[in-house]
Order: sequence, then structure tokens, then C-alpha cells
Amino acid sequence: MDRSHDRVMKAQRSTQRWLFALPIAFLTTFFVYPIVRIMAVSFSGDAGIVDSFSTVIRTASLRGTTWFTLWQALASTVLTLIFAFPAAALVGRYQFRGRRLFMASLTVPFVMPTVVVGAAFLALLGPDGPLGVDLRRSVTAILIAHVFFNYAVVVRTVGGNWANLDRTTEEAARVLGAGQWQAFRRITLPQLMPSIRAAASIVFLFTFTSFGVVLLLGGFGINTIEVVIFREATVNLDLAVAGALALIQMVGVAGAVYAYGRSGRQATERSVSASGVVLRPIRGFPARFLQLAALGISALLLAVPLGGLVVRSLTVGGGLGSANFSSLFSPDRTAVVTAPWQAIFNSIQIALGATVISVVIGTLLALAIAQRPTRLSSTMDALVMLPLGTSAVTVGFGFLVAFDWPIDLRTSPILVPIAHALIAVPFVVRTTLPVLRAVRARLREAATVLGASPRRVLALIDLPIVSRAALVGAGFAFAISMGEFGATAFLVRPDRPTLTTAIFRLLSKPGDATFGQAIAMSVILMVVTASLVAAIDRFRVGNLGEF
Amino acid sequence: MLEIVDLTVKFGDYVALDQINLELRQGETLAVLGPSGSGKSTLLRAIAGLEIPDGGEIRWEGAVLGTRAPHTRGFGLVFQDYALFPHLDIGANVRFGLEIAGLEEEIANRRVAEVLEMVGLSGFHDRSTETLSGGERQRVALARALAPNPRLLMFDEPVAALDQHLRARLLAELADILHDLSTPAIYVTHDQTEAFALADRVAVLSEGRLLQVGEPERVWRNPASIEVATFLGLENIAEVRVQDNVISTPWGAVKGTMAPGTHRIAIPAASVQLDPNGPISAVVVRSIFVDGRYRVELQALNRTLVTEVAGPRPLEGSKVSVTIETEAMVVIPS
Repeated sequence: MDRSHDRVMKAQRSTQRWLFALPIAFLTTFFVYPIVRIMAVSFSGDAGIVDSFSTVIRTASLRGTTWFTLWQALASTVLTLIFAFPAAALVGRYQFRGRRLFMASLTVPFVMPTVVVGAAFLALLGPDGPLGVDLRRSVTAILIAHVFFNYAVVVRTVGGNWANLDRTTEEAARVLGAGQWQAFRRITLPQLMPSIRAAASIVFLFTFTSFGVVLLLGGFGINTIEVVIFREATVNLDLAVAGALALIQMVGVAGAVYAYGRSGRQATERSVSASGVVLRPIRGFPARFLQLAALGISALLLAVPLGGLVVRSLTVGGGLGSANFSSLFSPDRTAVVTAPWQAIFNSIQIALGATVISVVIGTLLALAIAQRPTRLSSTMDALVMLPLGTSAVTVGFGFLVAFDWPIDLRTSPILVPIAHALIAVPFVVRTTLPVLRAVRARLREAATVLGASPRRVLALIDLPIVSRAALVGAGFAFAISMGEFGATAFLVRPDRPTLTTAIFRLLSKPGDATFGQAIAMSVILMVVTASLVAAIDRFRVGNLGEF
Repeated sequence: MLEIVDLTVKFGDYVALDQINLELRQGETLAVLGPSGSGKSTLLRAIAGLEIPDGGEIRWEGAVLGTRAPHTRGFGLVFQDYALFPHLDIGANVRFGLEIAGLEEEIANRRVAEVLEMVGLSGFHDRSTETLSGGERQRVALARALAPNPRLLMFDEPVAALDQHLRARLLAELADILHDLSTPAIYVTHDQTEAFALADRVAVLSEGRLLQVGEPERVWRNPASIEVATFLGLENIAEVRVQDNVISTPWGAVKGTMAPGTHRIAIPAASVQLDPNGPISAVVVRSIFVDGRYRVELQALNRTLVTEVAGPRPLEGSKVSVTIETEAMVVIPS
């Protein structure tokens, strides 16, 4: 009896190791190794380690950049929390017509490519924009764009936690004499804190490493560390300083990832409601006001920029027309080296590759982590989040310094999809793992009792269950790859631009025609991304998955 | 004290409570008995102010509660799943209502210690709610409801989630506490033993309608309808005809006094007895050992008759004779 139990345990452990093998090899080669090389580069600058770091500390502009990166990230986080709270409360508490659609449309900005958002805000905040004020090249524009991007993170994380709270605790407080506000402040809010902290650390993470938005909307003197790494590495060719900055940034990122890991776990552990999710119909003044506020803010913040982008794409010299789109496909294009439709084709090719790689690696990781909890699986669970936190520019920079030897892969087209896959893997893991965890323990036990070996359990129970969730992960991976800019900017060959690098190039050239083309391409990218999100939502398993 | 007049609560088109009339007197414990989905919990929630009535009135000492907010009512409610605050320790959970009322810290702490002792949890003050067993959680929920000295105590199936042994002990303790407090209480349950163990009066609720209200024994002896009788677990329900002190049942005729005519009756299983000289002959279909006795299903004239005997076990297939204690027959109005 004991010996056969022992055998099962051993079989399970070996299944787990076998599942981990490929992902670990992938992450070591394409994540750990490049970071080691970045360290080597920054430590072995012209005058060694001390020099590159002391350059950063001594140079006023770099100190300024670090300070700005930090405070704009904090400000963006606080602003996003404030603006997104009404919507989080609405989806966390109430059932209303169009709730599903509302939730789905909220996800659109989150996966919107940074260049599209940059283009949208350039169109909206430019001198010709509907607001009539020129906010380009301002911190305000950056902060608004950051709130736009991360709105859904807060609504989904906090709202999801809220919906899962045991509603009777609030009622118990009411019966015990607490008013509505008191019950919220003393009972509901403390229970929401883990998810608020989790959302805050994710938003901080994303805004701390913000690249495309700052590059497009920031302009001179308004730089994040991310932008400076890019400039130092590609324009000034000072790899040592770029490496030192990348390491400094990683410290901030690691802090936020750690905070997220802790709060995220608390949020999921606490959110056990005996009665399941209970949403109430909207009745009475406070609820109606909340609905109005939440929908109003959402529309203003999300629909206006994207709608403005579409309107601008159809505007030709003061009137309406499709010239911006048709010029993408006409032979007498003005500005770009390659035909714009070629960029679309390149992007799709890269995205397909990135999707396949990230789904294989991500699903294997999720299956392995969801096996019985071992030290290996909990370590991997945390480590997998690191590429998400590690900025795209760091990934691109790392690839650039790492893969020059033994064969020079830097100009090879395979690095781009691999870089995208690396960025997408955490998303695949985070969409598949909760699904596996939620259904598995009981089913696994049932299958085992019925005589299935660990390997057969994997084949007959886990794989079929995970495949649906993996499809959702695949959609995310495709969308992420299509819109990825930071790593692509480093790795892409000039003659094979992607949609995002082509848009960026068009945006940085003066002229109304090129701007129109950039906007038109942004609209195409936006439509692709939005349709993917809509498809993802259909395949979602219940409310599981963290994004 | 509490008067409920024509109370109606709807969820959309679904009528959860349909014109309920009920009254609660000083110091009384009322058990609301009904199957799941009968509207029991909705009744409590409406009294607490957590549901807004669609019709009718709830009055407390003559004053209409109307849409008064739940936190101003001064009632206590023990939830079915306890609803303990997960982010507060046990002491803070119990102290919550006292803090809200603005009690001085010292007085509040004394009261917390007092009620924790009352429910047998002295010294649990600093523990987290996650370390508690189901029974302990239930006690904390009770202590939390008791602490602010509510004007009315309400219980929503408070022991339903506990195992049988624990349930009996908690019920006995709860009965003692309610007896000592003289606070009026409403206790909602689907379990008639619980209701009968605690209540001064029982109200039977089904599909949002109140079927019968009365003292436990009276309801048991005089169920208002076949629905009530079935829900109370009365057995051997049948039509009988009475003529000249002979009661003709579907199982055979027995002697007994009852008003002449046709009646619907139920016979408690304990009042059907095996007796070698009994007038009814039957065959044993099944014997099940329950609570130290045999519950026996008999077949007489092709109808099932249920009885209880101490033993020895009546063998399946054996022929027996049976008497019925006719004075124990329960007449159900039709």
C-alpha cells in the first residue's frame, strides 16, 4: 500500500519535471541569459562597473529621468485607481443590461498597442484635435494615456474581487448598526484591499516601464528610464549606461512584482463566498448615480480617444474620405520604405509564430505548476511573472547584447517572435493556470481513484480542460505580438517593419499625409486587436483567468 | 412587539412572500418552519430591512418600520453562513456593533468578554476567524448578534451546516440563552425538530404563504392542511369513514370514538402497534433500524402502513397483527 503510494508520488514528480524541462530551457536561454549578458555589459564598461553606475548617479539628467519615472508611475497608479473605482464598484456589485459587453469593451484599451494609443492621443490632444488645446509633449498627456491603458486592470481586478466577496458580511454590519458608508469603509473596503494592492502594483509596473506612450507623447526632456535605455543603446551606443539603467529599472520592477504576488494570492484566497457571486439589480438613487458615473467616465476615457482616432482616420483635408486607407495600398506612397500592407503581413507572420511558441511554453508551465505543489512549482509560479515585469525594451536590449555569439542571430527574423512569445508567456500562464487550479484537485483525485496514472490524468483530464483556456491565452498572445513595440524597436530589421514600427516611423515624420497614413494603420491595428478581444471573451471559462 | 401585516415581497415577477400576517409577543421565540425556497430567509431579511417590501407593513411597538435603514432598527440577525468579518479577529467581530453604537472602549471590552463567555468562547478573543470550526463560527456569530443587546433576535438556519451531534448541543444552549434573555426571537429553519425544540410558537411557511401559526403541540395535533401535515412528517395519511364507533380505514376497520362521517386523518407511526390480538392483519415489507428503534413498513389491504417498534426486528415477509390507537389519530381538515 505504502509502496504503491510512493510509486504514484514518484511518477507525479517525474511527470512534473518532464513538463518543466522545455519551458525552463526556453526561459533560461531567452530570459536569464540575456539578463546575465546585460549585467556583464554594464559591469565591463570602459572603466568597469563603478563607472557606468556612477555615471548614472552623477549625471543630473539621468537622475531626473529616474525621479520622473518613479513619480509619474505613482501618479498614474493613483489616478487610475481613482478613475476606475466607480466602474469597479459597478461591476462588482450590480447586474445590469449590457454588463458583459461593458466588461469586454473595457479589455480593449488594455491590449491596445501603445503606438495606437499614442496616435489616438496625438490626434485628440493635437492643435487640430477636438479639444483645441495642444497637450502633446506634456506630462498630462502621458498620465491620461496611462489611465486609459490601465483602467481595465483596476476594474477587472478590484471588481472581480468585489463580486466574489461574501455580501452577507456587509449586511451583517448593517444589521449591527453600521450605515451604508460605515459598512463600506469598515467591512467591504478592508476586504478589497488585497485586490486594490494587486491592481496598484500591476499598474505601477506597467507605467514604470512605459515606453511607446512616453516616446510618442513625451518629447524632449520627458523621459522614462525605458526611453533612455533605448536611446543610449541605439542612438548614443553607450551599452554600459543602458545596462546600468536596465538593472536599476529591474530593481523597481522586482519590487512591484513581489508586491503583486503577495496581494494577488491574498485576494484569491480571501475571495471565498459561501453563496457564490450575488449581483443585485440597480435600484435606488446611489446605485443609479454610480452607474451613471462609471459609464460616463468609461465613455469619456475609453470611447473618446478611440472614436476620435477613427474619425481622424476618415478625415481628409477637412472633409470625410477614405484616402488615408487607400493610400496605404497605393503604389505612389510617400514616406515609408516598405509598402504598408507589407508591414501588416510581417506583423501577422510574427504574431503567428509568437502565439505558437508562447502557447506551447505557457501551457506546459501551467500544467507543470498545477501538478502537486512542490518547491519547484511555487518558485516557477513566481518566476514566470518576471518577464511580464521585465520591460519590453530590456528584453529587446538583452537579445541585442546576448545573441551575437556563437552565431550572430541579431538580424535573424526569428528573434522577434521569440521576444514577443517571452512577453506573452506570463499571460498564457495566468489565463490557463486558474482554470486548471479551479477544476483540477477533485477531478484528478476522481480519475486517480478510477485507476488513471498521473500521465493518463494529464492526458485525459488536464489537457482537455486546459485547451479552451489556452485558446484564450493564444488570443492574448496574438494581440500582444501584433501590438508589441518596445522589443520590436530593437530587433526588427529596417526592411521588414511591423505594423507598430511602421506607425511609429510615420508618426515621427512631419506632414499631414504621413500622419493620416499612421492613423489609418492604427485603426487597422485597433480593429484587429478589438476583434481578438471579442473572440477571447467568447472562449473565457466563466470568470476565471486574471486578465 | 412586532406586527407584520399583509407583507408582500417580490423579486421581479416572483412572489417570495405573499401577504404574510404574523405577530411576535414580548419574550417569545417564534420558529418559522418551511422547506427551502418557501421565503423564510426573505421574511427575516425584510424584518431586518435588507429587503424592501412591495406591500404591507412591518410594525415595531406600533411604529411602522417602512423603509427605515437596516442599521437604525436595532435588531440582531445570525446569518446562515455566519458572515463573520474575515479581516477582523473574533474580539473585533463581536465588538463591531458596540463600536458602531459608540460605546466606551472599556465597557465594550467588558461586554465582549461577557458574551464570549455566554457562548462558551472565553479566551478566543484574539484568534482569527479562519482558525475556527463550524460550531465555533456559529457561536461567534451568535455572540456578535447578542453583544449590542438587540431588541429582536433573528436566526437564519443557524445550525444547518453543523453535524447532528453538535447541532443538538448548540440548540440546547441556544434555548437556555433565549430563555434567560427574554428578548423576542424569530428562528427560521426547515427542520421541525429544531423548531419544536426552541419555539413557543411555530409558523409554517410554504411558497411564500403562511399556512398555520400556533404552539408546537397544537400544530402537530391539528394541522391546518394536508400540506402542513406532510411537512411536519405526519405519516399514514388516509381517508376514513366513521359509523357507530367503527372507523373504517384503508387498512381495515378498528373500534374507536370519532364524529360520524368521512374524515382525512394521519396516524403517528408510534401509535400503530404490533399486537397478536390486533384487528388488522398485515405483512412486513421492510424493517429499518433508526434511532434505537425499528421503523417498519407494513402492507395491509395493499396499502402501506408505517409503525415503530422497540424490537425484536420484525422479519421481512412475516405476517403480523396490528392495533391502532384511535385517540392518537390526527384529523386534517380538507
